[in-house]
Amino acid sequence: MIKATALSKSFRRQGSRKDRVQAVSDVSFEAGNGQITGLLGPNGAGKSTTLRILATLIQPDNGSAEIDGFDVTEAPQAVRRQIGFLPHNSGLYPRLTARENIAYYAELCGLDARQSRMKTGELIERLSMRGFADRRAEGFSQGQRTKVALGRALIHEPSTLILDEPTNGLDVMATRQLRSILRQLRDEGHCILLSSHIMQEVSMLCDHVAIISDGRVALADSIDGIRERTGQADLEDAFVVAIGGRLEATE
Amino acid sequence: MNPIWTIFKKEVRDNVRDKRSLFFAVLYGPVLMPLLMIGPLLLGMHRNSIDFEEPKTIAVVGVERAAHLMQFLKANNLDAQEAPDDFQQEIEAGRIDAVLEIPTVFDDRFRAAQPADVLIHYDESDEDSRKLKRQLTAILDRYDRTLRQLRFQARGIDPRIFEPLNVVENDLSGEGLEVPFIAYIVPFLLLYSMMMGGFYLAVDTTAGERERQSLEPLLSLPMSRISPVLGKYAAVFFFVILSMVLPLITSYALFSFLPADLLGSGIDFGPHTFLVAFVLGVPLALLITAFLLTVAAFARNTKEAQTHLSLAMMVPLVPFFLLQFMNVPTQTVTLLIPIISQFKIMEMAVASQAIPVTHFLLTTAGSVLAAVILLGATIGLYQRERILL
Repeated sequence: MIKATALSKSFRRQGSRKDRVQAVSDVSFEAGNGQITGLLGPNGAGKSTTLRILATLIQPDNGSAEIDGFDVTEAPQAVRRQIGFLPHNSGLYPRLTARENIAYYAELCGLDARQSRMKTGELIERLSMRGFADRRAEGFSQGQRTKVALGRALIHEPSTLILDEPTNGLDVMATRQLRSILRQLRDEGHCILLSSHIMQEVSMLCDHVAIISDGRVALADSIDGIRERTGQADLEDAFVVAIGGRLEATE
Repeated sequence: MNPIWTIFKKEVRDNVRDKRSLFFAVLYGPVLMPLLMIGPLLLGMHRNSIDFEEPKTIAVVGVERAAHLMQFLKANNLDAQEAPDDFQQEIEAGRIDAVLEIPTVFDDRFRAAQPADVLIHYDESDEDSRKLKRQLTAILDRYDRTLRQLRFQARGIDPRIFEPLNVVENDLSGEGLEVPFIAYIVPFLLLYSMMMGGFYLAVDTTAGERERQSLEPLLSLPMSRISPVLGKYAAVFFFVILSMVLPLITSYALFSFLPADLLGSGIDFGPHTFLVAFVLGVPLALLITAFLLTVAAFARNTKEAQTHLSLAMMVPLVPFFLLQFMNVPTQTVTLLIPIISQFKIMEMAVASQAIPVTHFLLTTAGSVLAAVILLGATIGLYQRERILL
């Protein structure tokens, strides 16, 4: 369960002392357990910044966010126990094998050698990684990398999964496989939050959507709710209307 | 399992698989550097030194003309053998190093107490020939002196009359005993080797991890942010200490090939000196590790880290060059300064001076303090979100 309220964050512009860029100015939304929530928005809208705040990697300037009732700034350690984070680029260690990459995180989360071996083995089966589990990550395809990173994020059985553009660079089959894994996790009661700029992706996978543009959440509702509130049957049109664009201009 | 231990294990395993890291940690510093730096030095000493103890043969023309001289040569480990007739060509061809010629008139002149000629045939352009000639000259000199004294005594004259002056040198420099350049070579070698050994690991575990974007998920794990820094520190330290101990063993082996008297009296390159080098090296390794890790951690990417480190690596080498032409006294203050203190104490060890325990305590305190300050800066950096930007 994620609850973000009026989050804002600005960064210093590269190479300048005073000049600041407002990455996120007003982000509020909720993501429930047993649901897949999509953070939908164009590039540079503030999706990654929002996810990094939720993953306790950076702190908001204003506003607050809670995960399972724990505040991201006040109780970051408790939040970290609740979340599994899959960053934009899967961030694997190229000289370690898939199994070693996952086992490393298992041990860091406090599992002993036996538990770590068992859990890692389970995840390798579950995410169908057996074919490449003992190969070094160096030459992995994007799909294989995403699977390993997902396995790593799931190793400590977090209630909440935060995924930054997980389908980026995946081919059709890998995307379908990932979707089915995420649906399974949802059905087990996990709270899943993912970011995407691909409309089709979000409409196929998500139960709930928060549309983000220029650092603000313009609209947050179920897919049907968004269609209803914007008066558009097509989600893409609904998106354009929601972020304040004009349909004729974009056609 | 303790996350620091887990991170240490992972970083070591990861970097043992990186051939570049491994090459610098176990081959470059430990083997190549000692061979390149100490090898030529020792070889040069070896070539210029003459072993007067080793029995050699010397080709002589007219062995029978000077029986007493031949005995004297033999007593000085030079065994006379009759030279071949074509000895001049043999010397030119390098088959004989030098020939001592006793002319036919030698015995007559010798008995008449006239200066009796002896000739040394040798090849100035050939090193072995030059060495044998030097050895021969030295022995003939001694023979000459002995005979002179005997002749004076036989005529009832005190030979000391011919020595108007007896110059006695009294060196009062005390502590400032002139220790040759060679005293600095081992600490310099260790310093350089440690930096090269930890270089790639420091870059890979900090800036490299940021560049691969594996730091973000790592820091989103439920563990203290001090753990990754300490785990990485331990891994780099492991490589650094390896690059200190291995070249220490290699240089000890190289120095043990050297005859003891070659370095001059009072110069000690025995086990004691190398033990001192090890004791000094451990706190220095702690500092070098913190130094490498901090410089690399503050860089944004691996390229920047490598550039910064290459430049920063000159800093620890500055004291070495300063000590070459500056007279730094050994006091409490200088002993607290890392690197300078290690070089000064090594100088004492090589000069076979007793080293007070306080010297060790001061140098350790100075280096450990500097290491803690640097490590603290890196831990601070990992608490800030700047590390992820």
